[in-house]
Amino acid sequence: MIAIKKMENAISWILLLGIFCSASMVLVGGILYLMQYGGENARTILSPSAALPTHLQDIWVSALSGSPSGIIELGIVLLVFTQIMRVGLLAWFYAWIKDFWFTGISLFILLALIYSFLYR
Amino acid sequence: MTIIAFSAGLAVFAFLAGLLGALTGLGGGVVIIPVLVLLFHVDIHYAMGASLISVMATSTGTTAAYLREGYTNLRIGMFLETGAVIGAFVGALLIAFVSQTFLTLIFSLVLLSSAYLTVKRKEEHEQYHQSHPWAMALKLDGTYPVKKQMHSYHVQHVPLALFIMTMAGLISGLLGIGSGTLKVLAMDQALRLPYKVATTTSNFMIGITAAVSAGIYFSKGYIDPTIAFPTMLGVLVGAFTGAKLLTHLRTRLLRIIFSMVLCFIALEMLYKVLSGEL
Repeated sequence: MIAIKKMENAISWILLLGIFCSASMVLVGGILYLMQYGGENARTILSPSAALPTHLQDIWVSALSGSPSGIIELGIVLLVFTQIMRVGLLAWFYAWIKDFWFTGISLFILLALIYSFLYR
Repeated sequence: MTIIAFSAGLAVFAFLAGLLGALTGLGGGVVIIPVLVLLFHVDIHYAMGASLISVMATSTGTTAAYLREGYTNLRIGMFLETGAVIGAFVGALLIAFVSQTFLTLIFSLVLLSSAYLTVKRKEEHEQYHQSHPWAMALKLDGTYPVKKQMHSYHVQHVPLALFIMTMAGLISGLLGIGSGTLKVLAMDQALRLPYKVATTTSNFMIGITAAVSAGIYFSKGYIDPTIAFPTMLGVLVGAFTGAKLLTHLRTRLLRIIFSMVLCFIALEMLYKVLSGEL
């Protein structure tokens, strides 16, 4: 029981840390974006744009170059990564307490997540 | 309308979505998608991308709080999630063979009857002294706080819940919506969990389900950062506010709010079928 409580606390901390880092990045990117384009007509963003980076590497390069939308996208990638982390942590925990049914279940969900994340 | 006005307006609606999502276990897509499409005239694919962000942010923010308070049942969440994942993959394979109009019609009727069942259930009058054999084997039983005291509960009808979850995955794979509603229903109506355990465990699960779809939306370029940033920040503040409120709100009120949201979704879907939009 104590191990489970510790585990729940650990996941809670991972989630808080993940959401804090991700939201901070999105906030910084958002402020930079509004400073650059805030006064423009919103019609420009309401029509679908084709030039969004879709590969992790492009998002990384775009964020490092200081592009506001790149920084926001990196924050969102971090949000997705937080979901993968929590399932990974659960898989590790169930393996540690030798609950093999739930280790299998967690690994199955982890694989589905990684597959869809790398799916192109 | 300037971009600043658009962002501020969207953030306000996103706050409401996060608040509702945290209280109902639905994640907030039900508010975000109609607001973006009908009010701001955003393309439906980008609206669905923003909805996924909203679901992941609500799930992450609320689960951090609900885990500490002792509401979320991680074992039930992970167990049922397998059904949803299998259903979602099968749904993606079946997409060419199933009539979306027919499925939407059936699903909206299921939602209307579920709205009635949700309000009808009076969990305080129910007494279960034994758990389903699967629940005992998988150690699914748990405890949850009522007025700062932990109460235990016994989990019922596990195979039925797994079946509903597989259907939930299948439907969300085919229609792109609906997984949150059926998650809460599987836990409330089949497993007979206390309502707050059902909604908070659903909040834990929806982030994982949304992350499975988010990869695909990213690869197609449907996650627009300029729409996603006010959505995510607004939703997050709303979700944290909702998580604080949940402990103080009565289950009866939460059931009524959830049922009203179900009716709204069902009527929206029926309208789409009847107006020939599908």
